[in-house]
Amino acid sequence: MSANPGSGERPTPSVLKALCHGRTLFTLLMFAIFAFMVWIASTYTWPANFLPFVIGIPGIVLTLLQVVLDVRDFRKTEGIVDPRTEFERYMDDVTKNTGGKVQMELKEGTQLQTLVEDTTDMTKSRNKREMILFGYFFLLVILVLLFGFWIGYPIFMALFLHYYAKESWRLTAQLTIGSWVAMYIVLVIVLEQILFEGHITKFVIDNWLSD
Amino acid sequence: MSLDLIFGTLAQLLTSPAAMWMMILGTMIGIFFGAVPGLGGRLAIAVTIPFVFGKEMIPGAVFLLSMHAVTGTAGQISSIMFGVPGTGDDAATIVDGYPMAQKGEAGIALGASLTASGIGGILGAVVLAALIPVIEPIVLKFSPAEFFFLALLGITFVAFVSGAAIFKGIVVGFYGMMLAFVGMDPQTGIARYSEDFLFLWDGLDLITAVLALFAVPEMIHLGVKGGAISAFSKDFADTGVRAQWKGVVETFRHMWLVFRSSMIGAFIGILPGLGGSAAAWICYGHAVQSCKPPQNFGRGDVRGVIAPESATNSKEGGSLLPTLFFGVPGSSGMAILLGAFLILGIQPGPMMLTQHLDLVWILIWALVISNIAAVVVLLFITRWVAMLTFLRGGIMIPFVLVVVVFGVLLAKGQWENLIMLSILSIIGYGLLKYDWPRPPFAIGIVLGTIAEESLHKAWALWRWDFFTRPLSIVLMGMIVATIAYAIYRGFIDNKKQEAR
Repeated sequence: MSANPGSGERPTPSVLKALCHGRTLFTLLMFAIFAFMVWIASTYTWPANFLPFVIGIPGIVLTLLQVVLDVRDFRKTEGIVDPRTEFERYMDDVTKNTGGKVQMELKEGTQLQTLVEDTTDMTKSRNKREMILFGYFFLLVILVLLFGFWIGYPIFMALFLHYYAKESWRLTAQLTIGSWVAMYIVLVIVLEQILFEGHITKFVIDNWLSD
Repeated sequence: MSLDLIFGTLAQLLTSPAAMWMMILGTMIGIFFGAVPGLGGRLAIAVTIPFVFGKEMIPGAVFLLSMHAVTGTAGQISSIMFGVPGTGDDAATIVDGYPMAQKGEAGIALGASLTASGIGGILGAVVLAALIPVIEPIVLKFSPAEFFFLALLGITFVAFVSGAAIFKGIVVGFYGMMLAFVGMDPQTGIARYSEDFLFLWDGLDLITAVLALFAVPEMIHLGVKGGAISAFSKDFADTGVRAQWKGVVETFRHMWLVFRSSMIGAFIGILPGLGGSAAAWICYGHAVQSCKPPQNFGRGDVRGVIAPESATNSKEGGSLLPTLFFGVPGSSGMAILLGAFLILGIQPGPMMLTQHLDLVWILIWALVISNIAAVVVLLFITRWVAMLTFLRGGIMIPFVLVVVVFGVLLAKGQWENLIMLSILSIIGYGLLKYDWPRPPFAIGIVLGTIAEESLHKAWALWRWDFFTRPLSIVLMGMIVATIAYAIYRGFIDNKKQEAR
């Protein structure tokens, strides 16, 4: 790590650290997607490969450029925390958009509920919540793939409502059963929709329950 | 354009039980999605597209447009009563709406904003109708070459104005286009990016892609952010019909402001990418500049509610113009709507004027009627709709995720699309988390196929000469100028930041 003369005591993060940051890694993922798609396109004959090249090659160049910008921005801004709260940022927006002519007047002690969340030291818990929520989402997909929509979805719903949303078992059961019955009546009985039955359910029906 | 067509389509809409039912349903669902903070019109369309899949063109289109048109009208309720914007478009309404509620004038603010919003929506539709004869000769001059460049210009424009770095915006648009190339190439019959996966041979399912990029990330984000609103009193005094009626009268007292703001909003809507938030702030700024005394703004001036609300809703009419006639959506919501129109068999472009003008008029009437219906309904049920603001994210998330999964299965009946949904959702969330604008994606994936078709047609007609056609040169010049200006602006912003 080298010291940045322009930034006082704040040491400038290394390029490697900047490259390993989530933001840069995501840009690299976008670069990889474009590179892979252009490489695949190179195996096609003209004109099937024409537009994938016309769009994909600039995509590669722009993502690489973005990587450079991400690294530069990370090294410039890492560790610098915007001292303004969300509310102050909102008020700055108001000032900017009205040329400084408007001062919003609120009752003393009032805060704008969704505009006061301070996200500065929540990164770890945010990451954890992201993982948990994606876990639940993938669980839903897996349950539907294995057991079908009508079995998978109530299991997911009950687990999510009780364990993630911390609802009581009573409310969880009411919401799960109520929504299941309502959806079943509307979709299966009224609209006659047939949905994917799930691999395991299909296997069980085909092998054990059918004549 | 004959009066027969104009009023015949109105009669057709009013006498079609299917279309009317879909419009009422769309309006109600739109009110719900608008009223719950964190949902909004874009998500409403994304989640409901699968339900119109395979439906008739007119009822399906009327349903989606009505729903999209009224989300803004319902979104302002939480902004005014609790200072919680339903969507970004409502942020300007808070500045005066919330102080009014704190002074016990919530009913007046709500009545004024609902009426302004409704009138704005109607005036936006009028602007769209009035511009049809103006736009007709221009649209008919466009050839496949220009439609190809228009697709690229649309992505560049939306990327430019979506706030984040322009490179990110263009990359996301290009990413959408690349995904549009998945499937059998119509020219050569090569299965691009699909290998032996038969479910991809018809192309990547648009519904799956849109849900993955817009619906799932929004729900994960809502869950991460929390967002339960519970610290407010649920005593909705001052919001009765009588109090709101005073607001209705106030709006008519400031009709000239409503008209000006609606016109500004409608023209902002025509420019691809500027969006409702810009329309609201520009019109709020306009009200501050033009109304006397300006010191009252920010302290609960009803004009500060009327101006942004007229603008955000009138924008919808304006943004239908580039969407329907040029295939360039004016906003991300319109991009998803355009995707839904394509699914319903509505092809944007000159054919909308030559063959489907009746459909255009039906959509205009749907905008007008759904706006009136939303205002009338909301004036009576505001306090109950306001309760939706307290709906906990923890309860909303699993329901929306289930509807998403259901939608993916319903659209094409292929379970493989659930795996695509999971993969694309990770990328969608990455885009949201790291501030990559997602609207260009919707435009890219929707326009990718149209752009490729146009390119092949243009190539067959003119070979390399299609680059030298006058309109092509103009459009290429606009693309280059937009990118150059964005880079210049970024450079200047950087200099300013360093100086600070």
